[in-house]
Amino acid sequence: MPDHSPNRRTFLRSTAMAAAAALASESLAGSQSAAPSAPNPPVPPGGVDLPILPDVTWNKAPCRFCGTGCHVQVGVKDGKVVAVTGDRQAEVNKGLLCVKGYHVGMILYGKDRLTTPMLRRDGKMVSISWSEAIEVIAQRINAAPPKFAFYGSGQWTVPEGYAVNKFMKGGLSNNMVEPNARLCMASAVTGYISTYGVDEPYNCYDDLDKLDVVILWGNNLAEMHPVLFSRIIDRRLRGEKVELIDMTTRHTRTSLQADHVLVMQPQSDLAIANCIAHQLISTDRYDKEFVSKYCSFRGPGSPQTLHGDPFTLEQYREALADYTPEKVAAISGLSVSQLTMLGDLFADRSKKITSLWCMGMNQHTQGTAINNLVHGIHLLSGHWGRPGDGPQSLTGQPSACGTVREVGTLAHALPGDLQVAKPEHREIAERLWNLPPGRINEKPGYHTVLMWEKFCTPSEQEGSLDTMWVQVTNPGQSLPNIDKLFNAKAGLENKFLIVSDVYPTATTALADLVLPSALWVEKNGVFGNSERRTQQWFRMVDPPGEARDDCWQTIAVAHKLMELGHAGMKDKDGQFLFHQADAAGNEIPIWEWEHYYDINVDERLFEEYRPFTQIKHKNVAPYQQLVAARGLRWPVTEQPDGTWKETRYRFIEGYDPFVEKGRGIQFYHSADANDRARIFFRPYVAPPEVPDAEYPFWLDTGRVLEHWHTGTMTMRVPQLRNAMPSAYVEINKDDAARLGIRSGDRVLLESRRGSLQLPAWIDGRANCPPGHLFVPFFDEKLLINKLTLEAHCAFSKEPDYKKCAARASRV
Amino acid sequence: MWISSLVVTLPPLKEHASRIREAIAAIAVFQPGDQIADRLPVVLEVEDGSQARYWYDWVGGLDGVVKVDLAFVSFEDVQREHDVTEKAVC
Repeated sequence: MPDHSPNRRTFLRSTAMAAAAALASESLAGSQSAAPSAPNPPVPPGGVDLPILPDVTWNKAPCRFCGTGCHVQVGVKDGKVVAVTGDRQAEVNKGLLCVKGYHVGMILYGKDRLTTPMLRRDGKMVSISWSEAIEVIAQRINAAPPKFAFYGSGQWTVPEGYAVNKFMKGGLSNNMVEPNARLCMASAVTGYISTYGVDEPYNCYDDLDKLDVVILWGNNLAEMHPVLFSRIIDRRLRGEKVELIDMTTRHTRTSLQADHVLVMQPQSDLAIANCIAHQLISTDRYDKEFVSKYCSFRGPGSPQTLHGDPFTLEQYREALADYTPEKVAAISGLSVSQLTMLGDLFADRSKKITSLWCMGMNQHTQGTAINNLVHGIHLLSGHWGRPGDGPQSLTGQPSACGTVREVGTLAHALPGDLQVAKPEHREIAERLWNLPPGRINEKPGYHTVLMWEKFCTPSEQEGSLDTMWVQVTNPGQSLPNIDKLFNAKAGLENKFLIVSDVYPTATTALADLVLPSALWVEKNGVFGNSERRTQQWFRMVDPPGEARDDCWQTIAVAHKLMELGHAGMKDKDGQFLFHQADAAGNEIPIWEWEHYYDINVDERLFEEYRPFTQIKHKNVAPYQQLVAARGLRWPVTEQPDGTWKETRYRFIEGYDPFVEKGRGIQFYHSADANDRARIFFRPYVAPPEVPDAEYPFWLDTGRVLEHWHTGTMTMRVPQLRNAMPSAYVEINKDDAARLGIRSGDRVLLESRRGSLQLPAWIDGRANCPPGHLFVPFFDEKLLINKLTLEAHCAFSKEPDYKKCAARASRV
Repeated sequence: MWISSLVVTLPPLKEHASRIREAIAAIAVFQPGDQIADRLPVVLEVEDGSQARYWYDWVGGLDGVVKVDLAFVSFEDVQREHDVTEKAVC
């Protein structure tokens, strides 16, 4: 029975007050509390300065939601998570959490948690045993291994993603592995690789404490990454001058705090970036020394290619000649003075400029190009490399970097940024996995859009995939053009969809087999956040019913396949692919759930994975170092005294241990093998679909503060669901008046792909300019992705959810 | 019982900040603490999460409040409110 006694209430009140007072004092201390050279503090047992609650034990974990990587302290009592507080020792969030983070503990306790495996028989879902479920999956895969695909996300933990990659690429010789992250940040990956030769940001969140100016490129930071936004706004509250430039297609909560709100036309970010470069070049205000020492120029290629063609400075200058402020004003909707302000800003080396972006630049049919261009203007102007002065992409999923980009759960990739198409990379992976030569298939698998198209197309019409296993994501809601790419699966008798999840979703609705999964602190885990920080946590509570770890599910299926005789499930010495032994050398049957936690499988897999990260100097820390820290930013290297040191800035001497002495800045993985970064010219290209007489509006989609991704977890938290219970269409008040629409009226939205009815919201928390509509995608009852376009970037294969043509009418 | 605590960042103008402090103190569900510079720690005690959200938004909406940060949430004794529509997985 809960204790409601006055004494207990008094105690809880004083505990709550102490936590608030501590946070108030802490936030006043501001960024100075995380001095750049401060060592990452160890975690004492039970943490420090934590609320003292009877019988509650506290332990650290990264938040389950976005890619920021905030640390929370999780309070557990009697096998349940009962309290959450921000982790004041965490450098990322310094005790702060957003409204989602404070409620993260409640995501475990929605009453419709999936608790037993269920198989569709005669059209109905019936409970089955785990052993039967594992048998069904293994038989299905074994019947046609090349027709099987695995689809996950940046919500996989690092060991989960690593196990899937090894199972598929090392075991089945099948590269059909893709993540939802393809839909989120693939353009950032191709942008980094083509610019620097290697993926992921060189810099980190320390920039937020040092910058003078922040430019948000289509990034509603106040709602999408609120804790990072708070770090910037807190500096202003302490009296520091911080200039915020919001480059956006609509006014948002971020705009309210901005010094300059630059409302641009969709897709015109390409022209704006080129206009900045044009101003720097044409007035000779670019940083000649930085460019001559560390950069080379690159043209787009004809037709455009990922790596383009070599360019001279003169060719670069000529290519930019058309991007005058006057011409770009006509394309972008910005004024000449706004464009000139941006040019002058980048020409001024006295200020430190940080560019941040996320989906606004990545979900773009020219996603790679705009990533190249933003890196390019920073390199060209020399606004690169000083703390607070550089370009940095953010991610939307908690381990998009750790599990997708570093572990390589993409159809072309192997762990450690290696590629299946490169023989030398396959040889490395085969050696580290102890596989016979030739085991790994050289042909990349399908990217996400193609993968789902092949699954949702009848087999006789080139629908070459017939079995898919989805873990930790909800493609039935998040894919673009879902009637084509997901719902078309209905009625295809020979297609078999396996879904591991924690709650019923739009994806489980079409599943043939549903597996109940453990969630967040119901299992061990490792995530990697947006700033290269690898974060570890331990299992704190049991999962409900028969729910089990995703990683165990993968290993159990692998072992069943071995029992069925699949040769790929053994290494070249005949051992099981996931063989684990105790100290005496006896095999531990981790494929049996009863023995899965006999050892820390996460630690074993992570240590097996670690050598991959050393190949491209992305050295992640040993597991036990992560246990003792609130995350460490790679490369993490061992010091002569036996301690381990993280790296805040890559490629820069004094920070990055792999830069040769005396080089200053060295892009040691340069794509041209010349230690230089590339400054690309990429032309403005019109979007694939634009408003016309039939579909006169731009339709933009995205997220809201209260809900994370498809709302599967946050819609189970009453506080969050009640605050934002359903999707809506944001419409400009003049457009609404013209169409006779008032707030709350039902509106029919239509695109060339689908239609949807939903309520209007006029002058709400955000405002669209005339001719624009915005709809959030968290609501499974109002699936806006029935309308979106699957057109994608030619290089990253990331679709554009941010702009398509639509029409609206009052119902 | 739902107990949480907030940190309310007050505006720089003293009279303005004072008005906000008084407005918060006048509501029985709030227990303001000692102000630390421009930060006011506040405990919020209500019956359920919906009320907590209501009052959180109310504070954030007070004219002049710069921002509201949550510091602590205890939901140990809360009768779970998960009234998510029952759904079958098929």
